[in-house]
Formats: sequence, structure tokens, C-alpha cells
Amino acid sequence: MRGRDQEFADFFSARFEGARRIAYAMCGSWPDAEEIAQTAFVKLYARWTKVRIETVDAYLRTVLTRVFLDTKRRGRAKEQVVADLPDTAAPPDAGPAERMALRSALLSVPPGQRAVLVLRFVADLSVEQVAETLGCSAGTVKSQTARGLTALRAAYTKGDVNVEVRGA
Amino acid sequence: MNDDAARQALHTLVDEPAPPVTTTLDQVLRRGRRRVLAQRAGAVAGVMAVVAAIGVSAVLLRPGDQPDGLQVATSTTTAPSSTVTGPPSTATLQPLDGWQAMRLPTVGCDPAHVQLPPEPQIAILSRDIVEPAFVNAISDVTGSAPAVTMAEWRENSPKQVGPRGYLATEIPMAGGNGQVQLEVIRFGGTPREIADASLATYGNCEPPLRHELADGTILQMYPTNGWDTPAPTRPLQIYRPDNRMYIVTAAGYSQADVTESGGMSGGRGALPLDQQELAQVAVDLVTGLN
Repeated sequence: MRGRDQEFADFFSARFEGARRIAYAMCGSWPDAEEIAQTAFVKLYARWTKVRIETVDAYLRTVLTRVFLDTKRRGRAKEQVVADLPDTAAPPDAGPAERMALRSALLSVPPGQRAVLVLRFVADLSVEQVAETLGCSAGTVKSQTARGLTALRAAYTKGDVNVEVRGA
Repeated sequence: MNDDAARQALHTLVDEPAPPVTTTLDQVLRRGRRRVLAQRAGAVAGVMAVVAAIGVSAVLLRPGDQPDGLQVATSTTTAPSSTVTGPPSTATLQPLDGWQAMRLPTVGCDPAHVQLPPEPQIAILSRDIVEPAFVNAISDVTGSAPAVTMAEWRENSPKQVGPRGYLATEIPMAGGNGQVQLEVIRFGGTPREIADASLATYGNCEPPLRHELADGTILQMYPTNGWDTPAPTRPLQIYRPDNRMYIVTAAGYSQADVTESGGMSGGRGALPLDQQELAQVAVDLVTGLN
């Protein structure tokens, strides 16, 4: 296995776990995150020879986000299991209550705004990078961020936990 | 909740304990290859549909052969040939003098999973040596020096475990620039072993052409990745006896066509070098590196 496949194998080994965690932040489900990340890598493979090394991470983020949003748009009507489910998933209450409340609050944010929040604050992308990833303007990213934070704050405080206590 | 608070809070989500990854590389490669083949099949079907439509139209609209009642305007003007010929097909390799057509020993177009010896811990040749040889090789074939638009030499590349060098040059073609790219890596085993193991490395069902030089260097030219017609590419891999590999790729797009996210905004729809020219660039490159 050389050339295209070897390069891709190396990249897959280095990036799949990170991509899965970003997908998890977006969808809130490890099996779904696994499926989204796997689909993103499949699409990346089909374009591998045309993607430049300098932009391969950005391209992966773009594909990952689009796969997540497409999944939400389809309402998972055509859900298809493409990966074996893990034998033992992490216990749902593994984290502190605050984290659980935050995750629930994030999942109540509309998918588009949620993707913006995850790319901005989890993937640590700039406004311009998020705009490029989503194919929209920087102004749209800013407005979506503001709306997303508003929705997140509303859902979060409804759970009687105030994120402001985290030190900000 | 301000940005800092949101960042801190949301970061905790990705620090959660995660179940083990169940996706394997083989799964992704299998699905990826199926996707590539589906894309190619779709492109072929599209071309066939257009050809069929043209054929049907030609038969139906042939003067003097229309059914009763159907009036067809006839003209003495001959249609320009460019409207029916279109660009030459780049999807299939044509025979090349001195090059041997290979056969794929695998089933289902899967690359052969051959266990090769580990890569020797050698350095790739420096950019100071490779770049002039590459630029001269292109100049000799095209008649003018290409512009080097990108050059990168890394000890450890995310695309390759180990050192990797990369050069991109641009040469003018109809409608803009095309590229001739060079990737420099290393390999384990002999040139013949790596060449045999790489027969289907690009996921194509078409076998490559092979040419051997007197010094033991093997050159392998692959079919065009022609399913993405605006920006086709054709790679040629060079396996040298010193365990260094050079991949020369003719690409029908320029840097200006590559978006920041790595996508493609356009392309020339053709390759900047034909098969003979690409082969000559590769041979000249080897000569220049000696």
C-alpha cells in the first residue's frame, strides 16, 4: 500500500480521533459522531489526490461539518449503520452535572448555530476560518455565534445551572 | 455567557471520556473506493447519455428521412467540428512507445496489500538538488521555464510518515494555468516490489504503463483521475534504486482554482502535458538527478 493509500492511512491515524470528537460536540452522540467522522473520511479519500497538504485539515473540517448538517437536514430518515457500535460506551453520567447540563443545552441549539459554536469554541477557529468552512460570510458567522450563544445561555440557565460561575 | 466562558465551557465537552474508536482504516478505504468507482461510473454514464442523445438526434433529424408530417429545416451550412468533437478523452491511457501496459493482479480494483520492507532511514534529496532538475525537465519539454508556485520540504509530513518534499509549478494552457507537481518521498523494498505493489494505488480499475531505465529506475504512469473533469490529474511514479520515490503529476488546475478550504473552484478541463510529454519530463528528471 503506497502512494495515495499510504498517505491517507497516515492522515487517518493522526486525525480520525480529533474529527470524531468535533463531530461528537456537534451531535452529542458517540455512535453518530463515529458515523459522521467515518463518512467525512470516506469523502476525503475520494478527493485525496486533489486536496493540498496545506489545506487538508481545513477541507476535513468542511466535509465533517457538511456531513453533520446534511444528517440533520435529512432527519436521519435514511440512517444507515456503517460502523460497529462500541461494546462499552462511556457512561452517560460520566461527567459532572454541569457538563451534562451544558451538553444538553448545546444540543437544544439549532444545528447550524451549533456547528458555528463548535467550530468557533471547540475547534478554536477564527471567524474567517469558520466562514470559509461553512461557505458563508464573516458577518453571518458573527450573527450565528451571537444567536447560538443566546440560545445556549437560555437553555443552560433553564437547567438551573449558570455557566458564568466557570470563571468568566 | 461571553466568548471566553463559552470557549471554556464547550471545551469540556471534548475532554469527556470517549468510547473506543470502532472505525478501521479498511472500512474507510473500502467505502472510499466504492465512492470513487461510483463517481467514475456516474461520469461515464453522463458521457454515454450525451453521446446517445446526439446519436438519436442525428438519426431523427437526418434530412429526407423524417416521418410524414415532420418538417425539418435543412441548411447548407456545415456545423463547426468543435461542436461535436469536444475535448479529447483523458480517462484512458494510450499505448506509449517503450512503455509496457501492465495488468492488475487484484480483484475489484483493490490495491494489492503487499507487505514491503520498512523504509530505510535515509533523507530525501534536498530542494537545492531536486528543484533545478525538475524545472529543467519541464523546460526541456515545454520550451519555457515554469513558475514555481509552491515548495515545501519537511522532515515529518502529516501526509507521510517521514520526510516529504513537494513542488508545484505552473505552466500556461488554454483558459489559464495548469500545474506540474512533484512529490518526493522514500519507500521500502526494491523498485520492482514497490511498482508491483502500487499497480492500483490510485483506486483506478485501469492498469498503469511501466517503463524501466538502464539504472534500475522504474517509471509507472497512471490513468487520469478523469471523473472530475474540470480539474483532472495524471500521476507518474518514479521508483529509484536508492529507495527514493518521485511522483510527477500533471494537473488541469492552478493554485488560483484551489479554495482556502481545499476545494476546487474550477479548472482547465484538460491536462497541461500529454502522455508523451509527462513521460519525457519524468525521464529528464531522473537524468537531472543523477
